[in-house]
Amino acid sequence: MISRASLRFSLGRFTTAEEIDAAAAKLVAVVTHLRQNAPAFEFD
Amino acid sequence: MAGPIYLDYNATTPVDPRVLEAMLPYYREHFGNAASRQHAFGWKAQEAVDRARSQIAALIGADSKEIVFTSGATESDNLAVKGVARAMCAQGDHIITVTTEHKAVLDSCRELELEGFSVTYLSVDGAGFVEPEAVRWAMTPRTILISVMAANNETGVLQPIAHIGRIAREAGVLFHTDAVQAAGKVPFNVAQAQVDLASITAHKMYGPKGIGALYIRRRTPRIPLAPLVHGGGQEQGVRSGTLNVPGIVGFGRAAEIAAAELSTEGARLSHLRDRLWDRLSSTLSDVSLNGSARSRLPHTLNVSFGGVEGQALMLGLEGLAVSSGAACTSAAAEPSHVLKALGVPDDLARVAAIQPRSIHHR
Ligand SMILES: Cc1ncc(COP(=O)(O)O)c(C=O)c1O
Repeated sequence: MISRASLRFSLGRFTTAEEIDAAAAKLVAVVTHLRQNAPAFEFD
Repeated sequence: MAGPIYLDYNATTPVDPRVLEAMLPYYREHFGNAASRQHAFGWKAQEAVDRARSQIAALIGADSKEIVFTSGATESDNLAVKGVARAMCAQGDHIITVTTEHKAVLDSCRELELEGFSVTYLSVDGAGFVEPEAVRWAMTPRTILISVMAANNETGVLQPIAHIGRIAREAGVLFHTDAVQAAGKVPFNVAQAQVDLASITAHKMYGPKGIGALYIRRRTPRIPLAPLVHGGGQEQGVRSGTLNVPGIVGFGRAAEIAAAELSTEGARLSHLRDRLWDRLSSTLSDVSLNGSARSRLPHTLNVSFGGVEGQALMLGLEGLAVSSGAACTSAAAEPSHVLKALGVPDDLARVAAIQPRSIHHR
């Protein structure tokens, strides 16, 4: 099964660089984890 | 970092402390009704409304007299689309809009179709743009209104509204734009864009919820507009109801701050936005950007992640307040109408663009 998820990130006046870094780290970790647990999907 | 990270500013924004500060006296000592002409309470309220009206007008390059307050952009969109159509039904019955518009515009158009109007829903290309020439091709002698948003709420894509405005003005057809996401974020000027009507709302620019405005260009003869709300005749009879004075004051202050900080804030946010994209695209495989990278809001990023399931992703992202425009797997709900529209191949989009979706002539 091919699946795809789309997210909208919208930043604003109170968004900080620290928040962006934390969000990026979290996203990378979660997406990597989910892909590892979906063995039917091919990724490199 | 304490608490969740809020990255959903296109959904709504917190009220800026400076805005709240400006509003509070109008709940307390200056609580008067702006329509009370006989005493100081009313004058004080009226004064504040006048000031806010010019602050909001200044943000979009309008005159104060061209601003009508509403309960928000949903009402502004409804008023513009239904108000013009119903007032002009003797002159024509055809409206042109785009598939990626906000539901407030699309559903107003659907409602008008039930009343006998015909609506052309133009498609967009893979980057999210509507082709201005497609607007020209779609026009008929019966066309009374064109409605195209300035910036898309999901992708941030900026439509070529100045080009469309020129086409509309040349043809003598009224042009409405939903400028909710553009106003206060990128330069937006009603004269430059040649728009006749524009919807804006306070809660997307650090003002309070429940207060919006419709810009109505002043010209002779007046732009025909059938009110949706009848009553005391406030707002030049276009929108009755006691004015939400604290909300209006907050909206005015929010517009003033947005205008002053627009360029520095835009640069700061586009830098942060690009940093987020760089991190994601350099670390993860199979991520793609939705919508144009070239012409979009500085603070908006819409990304698709291959090989993950939407619901699982949202669950995993607890602590991150983002919006899932589309969670498309075989099992999940319908993808967003905006992202779906971006997936239409160019050639198909072109064909669809010149064929009205439905025609119910009276
Ligand atoms: C593009 C657009 N138009 C209209 C609206 C509706 O505005 P409001 O929430 O003020 O009714 C929104 C936001 O919800 C929006 O993003």
